[in-house]
Amino acid sequence: MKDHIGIVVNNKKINELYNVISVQIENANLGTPGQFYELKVKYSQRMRIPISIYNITDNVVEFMVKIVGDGTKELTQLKEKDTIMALGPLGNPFTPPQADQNCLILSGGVGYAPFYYFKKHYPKANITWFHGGANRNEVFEADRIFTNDGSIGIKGFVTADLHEYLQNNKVDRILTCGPRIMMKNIANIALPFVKDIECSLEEYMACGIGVCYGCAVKVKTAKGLVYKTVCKDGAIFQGSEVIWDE
Amino acid sequence: MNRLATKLGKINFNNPITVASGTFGLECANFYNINKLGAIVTKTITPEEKIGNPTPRIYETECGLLNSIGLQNPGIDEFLKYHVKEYKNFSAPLLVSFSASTIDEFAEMLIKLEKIDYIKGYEVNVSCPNVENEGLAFGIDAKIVYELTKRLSKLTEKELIIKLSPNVTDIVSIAKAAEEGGASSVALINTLLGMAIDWKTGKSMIKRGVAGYSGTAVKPVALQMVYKVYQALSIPILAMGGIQNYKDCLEFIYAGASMLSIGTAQFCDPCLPIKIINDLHNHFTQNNINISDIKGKVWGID
Ligand SMILES: Cc1cc2nc3c(=O)[nH]c(=O)nc-3n(C[C@H](O)[C@H](O)[C@H](O)COP(=O)(O)OP(=O)(O)OC[C@H]3O[C@@H](n4cnc5c(N)ncnc54)[C@H](O)[C@@H]3O)c2cc1C
Ligand SMILES: Cc1cc2nc3c(=O)[nH]c(=O)nc-3n(C[C@H](O)[C@H](O)[C@H](O)COP(=O)(O)O)c2cc1C
Ligand code: FES
Repeated sequence: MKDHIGIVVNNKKINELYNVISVQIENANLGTPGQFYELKVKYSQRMRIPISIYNITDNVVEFMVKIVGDGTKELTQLKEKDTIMALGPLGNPFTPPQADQNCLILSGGVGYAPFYYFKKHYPKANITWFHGGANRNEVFEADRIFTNDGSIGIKGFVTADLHEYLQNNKVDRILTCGPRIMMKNIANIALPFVKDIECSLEEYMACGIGVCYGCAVKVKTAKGLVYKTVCKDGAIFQGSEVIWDE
Repeated sequence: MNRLATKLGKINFNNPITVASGTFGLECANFYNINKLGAIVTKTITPEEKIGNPTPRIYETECGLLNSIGLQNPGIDEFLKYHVKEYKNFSAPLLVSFSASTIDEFAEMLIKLEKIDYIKGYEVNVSCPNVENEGLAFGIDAKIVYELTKRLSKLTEKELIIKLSPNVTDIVSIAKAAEEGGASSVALINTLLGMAIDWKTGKSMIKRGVAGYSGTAVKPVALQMVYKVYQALSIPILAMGGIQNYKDCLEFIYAGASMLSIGTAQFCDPCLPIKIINDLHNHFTQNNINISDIKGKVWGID
């Protein structure tokens, strides 16, 4: 973990909402799927923005960024050769898949990002991937696509036929990232079928390294209910340990 | 000659830069040699474990940060059993921040902490609610700050820093109470109070509603408080509030600070404390001065 000076090598607009930003970062190949960087435009006085590793090739990290506010907008305006501060890689990776495991990925919106690299990093894994988004701007390549407005793929949430799917298919692990409400529903529907549900959570972050306790998430432990940090203890938590209604 | 050398009431420090309680942890050792800090200040510890406040706890707002962490910490016994050792091998002086809700509890904590020889001093956080005083913060009542400091100062020979809250009508009277009670120095400021609301939905951005406000925006507020307290007191000041760079540090030194804590700005740059130490060193060398040459020497005020 280090605060690297990254160099933007490409910043590509995918649609009105999304960009993929490629940044050359020292030792970036060490990053693993599920980890993230805290990014900062060099002279900005804003705090950092946590963004997942979307892809890594030859120490160039790609970040998939959805514009939701000023900070993410600033990232999408970066030009080739601009420098950017990149603190990371932070957090823990998803557990590597085992050869005989059937993994089901369920992603929502920009929650797509970490799984692109997961799939690439583990080419031999048995992966089925469902992805959902609000509309056609929020969907990317996957085995099954859902949109809330029905503009492409199946109309409905990514959880629309999850119950039925789990009744008819052997799933050993679920990996999920997306809006909290989506992951909560997934945990509720899937826990009777699948114990191992790895959820990549989002919280507002300040330090990104586990010192400020800003990015807390309430979880069940042997000691009772405690707050863990998304940045250091997470961002990956088991669906069964998270107190979703906090 | 070390131009950066400075002193609080009882300890000499190699340089005036330390870190604000709650914004630093040993994780920072990943980024720089923390022995280069003037001192290390821990996150506030309390008599019992605190799990902290519900989330969301933080929100970045105009020119600053709102936080409502709720003093999440493992409690003093756990701290003494497991965590304090982690600081043992660092040469930078260790200052432990602690807080409680009655004077007796504060005293009991200090007695326990006194057993650890490598703790060089204490930063007493009086910004939390006092159960003996209808839940109002200790730090808003000069009489209680006096009583508390008097009790604690009899229990230790080490540096005893009282950290003041800015959320008071007259910070000078509280600072004086700490001095009269026997504090060896004062620290200021803790966070102001603030709030943020999502204008689209009306929802509070922080679960607890009102939060602590820190960062760039609070600097002028902190600066005038340091200035006023320096005019009225003879014990040294550990100043903080919105420090971003060495120029901010110089302002605080002109206002009367002997030492400075970097807080929120570390969230923008984890290496900032070290950069500031280097920049201050260069500035002092280039201008052939040291801290005592400029401390409290603000001018142009009628
Ligand atoms: C571990 C982690 C990985 C992430 N990975 C990615 C990624 O790969 N790509 C990507 O585009 N985004 C990712 N995010 C989310 C991204 O960090 C936020 O969207 C970004 O910080 C928003 O900043 P802003 O200044 O643009 O928006 P702001 O102006 O701060 O906020 C705009 C809107 O977004 C909401 N919002 C902002 N931050 C968060 C948050 N952390 N959680 C929930 N709601 C929030 C606000 O409530 C507001 O409605 C990730 C977050 C985390 C914690
Ligand atoms: C996330 C966060 C946590 C904090 N926790 C504590 C704490 O535990 N004890 C304390 O005395 N002050 C705490 N503070 C206040 C800081 O130590 C400091 O007084 C204040 O933030 C002003 O300095 P700054 O503007 O440089 O951050 C905290 C501040 C922040 C931002
Ligand atoms: S952001 Fe500070 S602990 Fe996670």
